[in-house]
Amino acid sequence: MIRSILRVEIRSMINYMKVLSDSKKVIYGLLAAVIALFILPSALSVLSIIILGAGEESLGGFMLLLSLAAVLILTLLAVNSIIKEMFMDRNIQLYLTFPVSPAALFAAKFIRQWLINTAFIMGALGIITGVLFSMREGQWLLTVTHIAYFLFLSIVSMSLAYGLVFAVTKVLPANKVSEVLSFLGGISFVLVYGVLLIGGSSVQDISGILPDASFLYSGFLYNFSPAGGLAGTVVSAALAAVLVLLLRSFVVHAFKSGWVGEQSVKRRHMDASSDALSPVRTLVQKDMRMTLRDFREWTVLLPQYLLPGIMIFILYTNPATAIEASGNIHDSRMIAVSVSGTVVISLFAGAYNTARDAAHFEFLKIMPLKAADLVKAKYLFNIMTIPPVYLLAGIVAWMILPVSMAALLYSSLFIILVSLAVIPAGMFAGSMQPVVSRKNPAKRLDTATNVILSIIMGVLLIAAGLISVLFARDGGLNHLLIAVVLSVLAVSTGVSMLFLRAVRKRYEKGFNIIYKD
Amino acid sequence: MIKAEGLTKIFGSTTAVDSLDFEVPKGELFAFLGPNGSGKSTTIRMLMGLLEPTGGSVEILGEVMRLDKTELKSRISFVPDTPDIIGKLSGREYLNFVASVYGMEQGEYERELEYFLGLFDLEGRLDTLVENYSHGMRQKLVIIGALMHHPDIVFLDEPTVGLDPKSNRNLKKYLREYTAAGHTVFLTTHTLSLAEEIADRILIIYKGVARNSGTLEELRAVAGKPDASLEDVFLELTEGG
Repeated sequence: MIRSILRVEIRSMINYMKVLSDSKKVIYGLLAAVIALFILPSALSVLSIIILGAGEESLGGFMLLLSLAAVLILTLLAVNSIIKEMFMDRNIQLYLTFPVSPAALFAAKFIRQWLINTAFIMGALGIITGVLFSMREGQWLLTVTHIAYFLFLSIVSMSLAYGLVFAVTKVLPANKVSEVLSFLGGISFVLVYGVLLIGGSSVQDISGILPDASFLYSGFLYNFSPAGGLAGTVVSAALAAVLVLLLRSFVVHAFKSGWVGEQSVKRRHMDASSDALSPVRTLVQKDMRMTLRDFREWTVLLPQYLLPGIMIFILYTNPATAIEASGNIHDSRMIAVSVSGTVVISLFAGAYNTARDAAHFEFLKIMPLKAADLVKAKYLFNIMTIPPVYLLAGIVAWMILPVSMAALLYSSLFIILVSLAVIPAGMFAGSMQPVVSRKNPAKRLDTATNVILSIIMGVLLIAAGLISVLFARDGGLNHLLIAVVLSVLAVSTGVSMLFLRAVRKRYEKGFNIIYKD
Repeated sequence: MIKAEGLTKIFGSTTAVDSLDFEVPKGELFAFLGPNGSGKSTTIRMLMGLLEPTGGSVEILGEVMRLDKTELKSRISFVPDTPDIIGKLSGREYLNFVASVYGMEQGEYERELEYFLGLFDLEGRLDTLVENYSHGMRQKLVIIGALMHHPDIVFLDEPTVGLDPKSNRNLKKYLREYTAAGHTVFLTTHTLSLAEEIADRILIIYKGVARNSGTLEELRAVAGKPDASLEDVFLELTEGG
């Protein structure tokens, strides 16, 4: 039975690959290239430096830190696919109507998810650390013990992810859990970034404050001894088996009690008065409620909202940039981050918020609504949700960082003008070819638009440094240049109305919507 | 064949199904009717073992129904209210899976496939991905998957939604012959004309409680409308006219 289910799952995956559009193949190819050319070499170099160069006394702490980071990141990455398969799709319910036992279904699903979500990455990590430790100690059996240990960690990650998903779903509706956990999974890339960026420079300090874990790893993962290696491998395998069995009984119980797929039973009472508003106000209110009631909306946009925070983090904490950080360079950096961050969020949020209308476009069209009102409402909604957040973030940054009041005022002006000028461009991008996906409602933009916006985001990240140099002069700010740029932006705000006109035409003619699944 | 005793399901403070008692004998086409939110789908899910009852019991073919009873499950099948298909499969791959898990012989599978594809006009359309099918085609595929292995009992939740007139007629004809051959059908639908046309017995559920059951004639008598349609009888018994 397990084989039949696995065969169907594999067939399903092959079919998915076969019908991938060319643009998606290119994206996946690019992603693979980025991993192969940047992330893998970075990980390899960080690990090599630490493992080959660290003193023996810090190896236990390092292994504990690496294990915790890997388990945390992979757990967060796995929760999204688990909740999608177990709760959001009707797959589980459909399988269970067939003569398939819950235990067999769990086994098949677990094997597939484990292989794809955690075993593959942990296995690779085990090989890398195993080879490095083997080189360090000249004992090749360490490769085997490292693979065994990291495969055990892959089971730990899966167990934690399953446990987290099932336990939280017991008390909250699955769709709400999905929204929150998808968000956590989505931002787990920040953790990968954090590990890679600050891992190399700070690992010694961090491992210094961790409890001494040499009693766990010495003899097993370093300082190899046959008894330690054997004991560690056997204990890892036994613990993994116990975890899988516990998980099996837990999940099978959930299947049997109807817990999985038991949805829409918790109804929240919504207080709302019966008010008839103007078309624009009611459309803005519709967008506001859709955003506030669905955490997935935040999931999509929060990484972009957080981007300036990451940029500030890089500019102010990275040793390479910190060296030159003197005098009023802080002021120009603050302005640079405000400009580039506002461009990014205005483009993304403008596009995503506009593309959201594709899902109920026919409904909007049959209503007696003018296209101009739809565009006006969307523009207002974006203005109400983008600049205020950034202005607030700017004030927080000003309170924390050594930034002058003048820089804060300039930043605020830039945030307002840039968002007014760029939001229409984002709305234009979002109305170009929006996507409607029932299974993944957060997927709203077609691949080409996504690629273009991502490239712009990448360019702005790099340009942020350049902008800060341009705005700095003689240990202060280049007020003249800033005034010129602000004037240009003010004019651009008017010119960007052309984009709004184009968006209005699209609302009139009808969106060119791509329907997925 | 199907026996529910004191079947109850409570979600939080809401009683979705309240002490439901009924029995469906072999060879009967049993229609289970009720307005939206009356507890029909919850009852079906409990009968299929997909949802644990808060109280009462379900017996299918003389055995207490449980999800891990694969032998028992191989003798029943289910057509859900929305024709979703597992995975990203073509129609043929889906039916191959169904035939495999129900242990059909190759010859039997080919024979039945040919018969049902003809019955529902799906010849030549099995080798495209189901996600590209129309709603009606998906419905036909799910119905074929549920019927081709000749289960003793088939549970049908709104089976005719999306079906074209010809397939609709063919399905009704098939179900009549199917129950005449000793199989049992448990049908829920809002298409009351369908239940009126083919059901042997009807049970009406309202707000989780069984209101009335019996043949159409018996229900007409209870409603005091001897010549009324099932629609009139249903509204009389649930809404008081």
